[in-house]
Amino acid sequence: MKPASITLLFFILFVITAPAILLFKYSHPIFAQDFNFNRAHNDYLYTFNQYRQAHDEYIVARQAYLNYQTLTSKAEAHEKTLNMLKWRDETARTYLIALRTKLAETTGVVNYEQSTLYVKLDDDISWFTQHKENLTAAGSLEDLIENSNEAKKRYSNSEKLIYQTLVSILAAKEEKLRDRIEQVISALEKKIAEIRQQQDKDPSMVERWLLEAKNRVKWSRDKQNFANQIIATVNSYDPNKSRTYFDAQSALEESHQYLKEATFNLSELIREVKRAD
Amino acid sequence: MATVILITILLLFSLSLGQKTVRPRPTPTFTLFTPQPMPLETPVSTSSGYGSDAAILKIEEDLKAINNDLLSTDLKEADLNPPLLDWNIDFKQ
Repeated sequence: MKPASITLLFFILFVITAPAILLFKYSHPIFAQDFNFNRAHNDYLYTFNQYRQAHDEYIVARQAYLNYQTLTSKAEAHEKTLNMLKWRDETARTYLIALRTKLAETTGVVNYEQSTLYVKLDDDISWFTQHKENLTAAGSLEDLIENSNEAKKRYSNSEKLIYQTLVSILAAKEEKLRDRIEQVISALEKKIAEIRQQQDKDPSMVERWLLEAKNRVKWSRDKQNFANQIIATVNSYDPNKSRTYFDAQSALEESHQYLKEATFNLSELIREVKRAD
Repeated sequence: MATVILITILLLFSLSLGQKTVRPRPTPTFTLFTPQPMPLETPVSTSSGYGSDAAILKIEEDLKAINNDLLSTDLKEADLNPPLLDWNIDFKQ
């Protein structure tokens, strides 16, 4: 075969395979259709357990090195620290994947917000995947510490995203329930208008009760908006991000309580409609 | 003969007296007061024409389903709390 033909053959092969390689390297993680939250969560739990074991071994190796300062203990400390850091990155990665999967399975999230969170979560997942691969190149304990601090800084940003995603998931549940209650209210409004028109029952009391239920639905929405405002205040440098998250969670619990009261009011209303005057 | 007849009459007489004197003692009966359970919902003694209205019954079913979901909703999602990871790695005493 002539050299020119071989060159042409290689060129054709390169043109065909290069886009596929680039697409594989730089694309966002692709999730198989059968990959659901339960599987993602089990992956995360398994990884977290592996991390804890690796961390225990790191602690022992670290102390041995600090005590004896021998080359052997240093090598052992390097190996155990590297192993622990890999599992730590993997834990962060699998946790973020589980969170992303939960967000996807929770319907009712506003599209823009959903896509923004997805993009940010995917970025962090890719970052921890790449960081874990780069750990092997660390030649010394000092390099490992530097790598660890990079991950620490990155995770501090990730925490803000994590708590925003968690509030988004909880708020989506409230939104779904509230939508269903509003549909019931809408159906009842039509029925009460029909009762008033037919004049076979005095609807004054049920109209007042319906207003009570509508007020509670409104207060529920207000509390949810308040929860969103609370979690929007969290920033990457806040050492008490979890505290802010729990405050937002409390506001959502109050929102939920209002929905329960609205449903109770509506149940009483139905009994009154069914009762003769 | 007369003696036998007399004894027989006395025996018969004593038997009839025994039947009259042995009366069954009445057994006192105690009845415990069991209060009737209060109904959870006030029974609708008279229902309006909307008691069997299809739309009302549908709304009632929907409300029950919503109420069940409200009670079973997980507001904590504790399984999704972030993991506790050690980010402070150093080799200082």
